[in-house]
Amino acid sequence: MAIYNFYIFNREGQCIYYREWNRSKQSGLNQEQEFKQMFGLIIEMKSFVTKMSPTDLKDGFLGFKTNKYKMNYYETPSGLKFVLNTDVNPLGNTRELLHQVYEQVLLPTVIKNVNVNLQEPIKSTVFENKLEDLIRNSTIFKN
Amino acid sequence: MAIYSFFILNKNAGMVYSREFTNVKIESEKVYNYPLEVKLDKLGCIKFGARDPVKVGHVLISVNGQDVYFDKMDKNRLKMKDMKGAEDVFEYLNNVANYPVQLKFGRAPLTTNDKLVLTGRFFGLYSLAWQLSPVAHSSGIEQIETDQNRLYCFHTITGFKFIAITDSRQQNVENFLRKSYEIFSDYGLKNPFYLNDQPIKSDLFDFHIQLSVDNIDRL
Repeated sequence: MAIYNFYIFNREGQCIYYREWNRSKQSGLNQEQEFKQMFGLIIEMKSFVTKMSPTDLKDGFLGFKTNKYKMNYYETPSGLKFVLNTDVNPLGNTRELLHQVYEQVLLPTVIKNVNVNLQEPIKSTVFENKLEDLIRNSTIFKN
Repeated sequence: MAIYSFFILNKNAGMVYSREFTNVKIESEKVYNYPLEVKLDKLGCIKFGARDPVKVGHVLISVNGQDVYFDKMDKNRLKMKDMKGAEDVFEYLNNVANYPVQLKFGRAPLTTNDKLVLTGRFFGLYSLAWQLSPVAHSSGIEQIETDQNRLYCFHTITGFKFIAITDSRQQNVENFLRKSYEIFSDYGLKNPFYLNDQPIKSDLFDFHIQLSVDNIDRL
């Protein structure tokens, strides 16, 4: 049981999807505030990393680790940002998993749907079920 | 495989020690025609329009071989050295008659001031990571990952942070940071002339840090 929670942000910084699985501690903030903080963390982290790095980066920021969890970050060229919090040592490639979430779940069910506006939170049940399937069947979740 | 840089911060986000172990220069020179394809901000930093090998975020270093400098005495203008009347870079680049022009861009090295600001920002990130933790009893950031390199942070119970920026393939950095804590207590804190929270200026300390950096590279 090593996946804790999952955020999707659109390019404007709004959290359009949030889901948690085995989260044992809440941040003590209301959800809106927490999303803002998380987005702030990502933006600050990205600029921090590019400034601090002695070489030019290609993908840039990929995530960070503390002693209890690992934050995994993936950004699409269109500016959608995915954040997945897992165990410190996830069994499997989390970047690959996040890419699959984008390619196999979000793209066919939400982005290709002409009626969906990405400024609004995602309410599709098809998306939710597919995401649930993918996450629950991944090696990272099972171990 | 290498350690690029090493910092020690005290509990007030002050920088006690900083050292760089790399002198890689990323620079590229290219000939440009009018109109200039890259868009610069007033500090000479590329905002957009860069093509390989020049990248967004690189800073203008020289124009036609003349070094560019930032004149704080004259309304913060960007100027060229060795020009009669110290010509303004943007006036020069806006004049069609000066083209084609050879521009050199590169990654700006971190100044001491930049380092102080960045290490201060790290404190903010550190506590945010702890606050947004999905599990109880989490520490702050211990490692930040990018595709090229990693930042390791070792937080001591006395509130110091030992930070190393390394290549992403480098192993055993945690050991190096613990070792440097030991060196810090031996040659920094046990020194009777050392004032708390002041920068360390000790040859012996420098020497031992260098020694352990050299040792880790051989692993």
